[in-house]
Amino acid sequence: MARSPQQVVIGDLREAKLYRALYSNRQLEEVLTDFWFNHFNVFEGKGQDRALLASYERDAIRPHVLGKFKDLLLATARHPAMLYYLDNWESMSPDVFQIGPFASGQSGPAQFLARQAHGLNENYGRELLELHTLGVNGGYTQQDVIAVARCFTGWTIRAPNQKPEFVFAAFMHDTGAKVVLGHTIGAGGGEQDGLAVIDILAHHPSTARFISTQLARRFVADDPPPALIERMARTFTKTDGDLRAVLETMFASREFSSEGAWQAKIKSPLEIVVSAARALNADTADSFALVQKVADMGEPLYAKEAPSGYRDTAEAWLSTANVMARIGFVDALVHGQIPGVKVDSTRFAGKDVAAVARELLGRDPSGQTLAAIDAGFEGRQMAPASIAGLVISSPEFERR
Amino acid sequence: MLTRRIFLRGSAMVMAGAGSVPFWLGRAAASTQGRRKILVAIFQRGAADGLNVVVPFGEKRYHELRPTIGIPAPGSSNGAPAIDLDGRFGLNPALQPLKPLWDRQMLAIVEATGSPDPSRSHFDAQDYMESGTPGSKRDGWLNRALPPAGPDASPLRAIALSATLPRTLQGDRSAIAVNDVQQFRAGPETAAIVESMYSNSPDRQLAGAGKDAFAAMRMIQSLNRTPYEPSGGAQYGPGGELGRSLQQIARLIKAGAGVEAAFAEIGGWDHHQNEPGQLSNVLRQFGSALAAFCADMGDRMEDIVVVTMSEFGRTAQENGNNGTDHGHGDVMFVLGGSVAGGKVYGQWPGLEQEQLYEGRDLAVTTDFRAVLSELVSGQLGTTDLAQVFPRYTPGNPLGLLKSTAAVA
Repeated sequence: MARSPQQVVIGDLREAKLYRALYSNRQLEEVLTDFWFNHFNVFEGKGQDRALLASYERDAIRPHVLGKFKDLLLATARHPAMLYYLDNWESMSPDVFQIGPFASGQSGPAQFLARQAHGLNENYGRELLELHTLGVNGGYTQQDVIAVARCFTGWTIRAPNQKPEFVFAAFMHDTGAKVVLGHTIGAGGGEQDGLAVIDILAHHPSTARFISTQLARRFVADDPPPALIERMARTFTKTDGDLRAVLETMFASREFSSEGAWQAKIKSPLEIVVSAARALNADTADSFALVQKVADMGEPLYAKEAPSGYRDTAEAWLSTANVMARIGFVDALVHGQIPGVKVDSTRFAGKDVAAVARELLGRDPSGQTLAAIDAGFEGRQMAPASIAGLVISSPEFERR
Repeated sequence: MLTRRIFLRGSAMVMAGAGSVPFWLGRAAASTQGRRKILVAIFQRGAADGLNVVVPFGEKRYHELRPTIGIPAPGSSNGAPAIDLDGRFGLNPALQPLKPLWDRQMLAIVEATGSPDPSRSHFDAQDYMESGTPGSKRDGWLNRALPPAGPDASPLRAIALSATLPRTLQGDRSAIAVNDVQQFRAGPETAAIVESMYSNSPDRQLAGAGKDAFAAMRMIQSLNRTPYEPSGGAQYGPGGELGRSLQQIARLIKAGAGVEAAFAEIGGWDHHQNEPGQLSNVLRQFGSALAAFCADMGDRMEDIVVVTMSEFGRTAQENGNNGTDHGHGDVMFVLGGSVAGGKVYGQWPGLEQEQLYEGRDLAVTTDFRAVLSELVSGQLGTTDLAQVFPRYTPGNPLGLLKSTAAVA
């Protein structure tokens, strides 16, 4: 079936994500790009986003993952992918209909636009507070949501269907004064209103805590230790939101290397697929089929419709559906049935189960796993590929 | 040895499954000869715009609040009008497939339902509703509503059609999530060994996840060996994703797989802009899927109740982009042969400025737990509602089921 140009662009992006995860020398950057994309999630199915996500990830997310949070926040706020996704590009002051090109009696392109867009849209304002910065318990009200939405009126897209790029359209902007989280933003600020909101949010203590919690949840445990979060949040505040410094605080912490953090996380489908291919030294010439396997396990890439992104906790990936898809994937992988991916299991020939398991897991397998494999084969000769597949299907391999 | 026993059990089942009906399926089927009652919960993720799903066309204020996206009153020649239900409310025209079910009094509508919690966050509000505990998050109401499993309980007694187990079904009772069961292709030997690794794993979290997965998996694989032909002229195709999920539920119920509670979901309701076309599309799927399920189940609908819910409704007034923003009160559907349908339930709070919640949203006059309580006791036989909905005391029943209508 022929694919549209937009589908080719998003397809390439998905395949590139797999190649980078498999082969990049900058693994921390990859993990962080995945993390921040999910934090500032955009869904491929909205507006023109299928064609824009490559730029969104490359230009708005990736350059800032070890930079300042405020730069990252601003880059996402202004990117057409986000402006489409959370509808801000259409949000405008209701006053537009009393004055200027939208006033009744006028005609022309403005009237055409007026039929589609004629007032405020809260979508971006709310998710900016709830998901991108303060967190849902970060201390904001419905009035703050409305005030933030008013500040961002006019942050829109030039030529949406030809050459989508950020533009501030003064005629759409709500010029009145606003109060955001107790800060008064004076009348007539224009584009500066949105910048002022970004500044308030980037320096808010709730943001420091929320971002630190999310990072610690990604790297340490589903319920990260509060003391660690506090120290990371202090670094965040002290360094003006320097994400490299926040990560350094986390990586150098006792908690990060503690026993409680060892194998505390359940792998996501992307992590399962990539870690299995890497453990087996798979030679991936075409990652198309692997992209499909990640989707089969419940994590279609760039395709999470809700702005919260994928959940980063164990219960998100522990289900019958997931276990079934995973066993099927591993079985196909070790038996060379995934197109574009070559696995050579001869290096396991002549080794016993414990040795193969140690090699693939990087540690000793549990006695239960060894016993299950031994009992299953009842003393018969085991093909190296089958042993490898079973080890990768084991509970041990599901953790990181 | 436990390991060996499980492996042998797995092998035996595979052999049995190759030809005849496997014995465990026969057992599960036998245990359901008493025509078990079933509760199916459907979650509309993204906050469905109740005011355009069931249209209060009798309210002048409705048309003032929604000059662009409002659905015209029945009989209007101006665009596609609402389908009249009772002279006050009408179905969105895209819900035409549900009208015959309303006429047969199988479909009840509960207006102005929702949560007492004021959150307008999708994710918190979904969690609260799925927990059945507004304001706090815990395991799922439908899991707590299940009676203790008897010795013949099926591994498929509580099933979600999704890639991950939704909060609604998380909890102490075993419940499983499956999506596309056709995906499973590993050989039986592999599956048996992996089952053994999981069952005996010292990793409690993973052992728990694996516990129910494998028995369910074998049962579904076995059912899949026979192609499925929906009955009653049911057309699941137009129902999209939800149609596919309900078809799998129908298939399991008809095979006598021992289903007691099922969960399915349908996304795509968050219409902040350009609502009319998008809402029509998703409603067409929603209505077609429900209608197909009813047609397919036929007489069996006497034992089944389907209930639909969404985390909150949307602003009474349309926003600046032919859409609506996050609101409060919403609408729920209750569908089944034992439902006292053909009636709009609940107290209508009105749409005048002072009647709206916080001056902008439809108020909630019926707690969603009132609806669910009635269905939980009627369908699952669970009378200890304090355990299902802690810190909530239901009032008089709404009378949604024929059995409760007499009391109400």
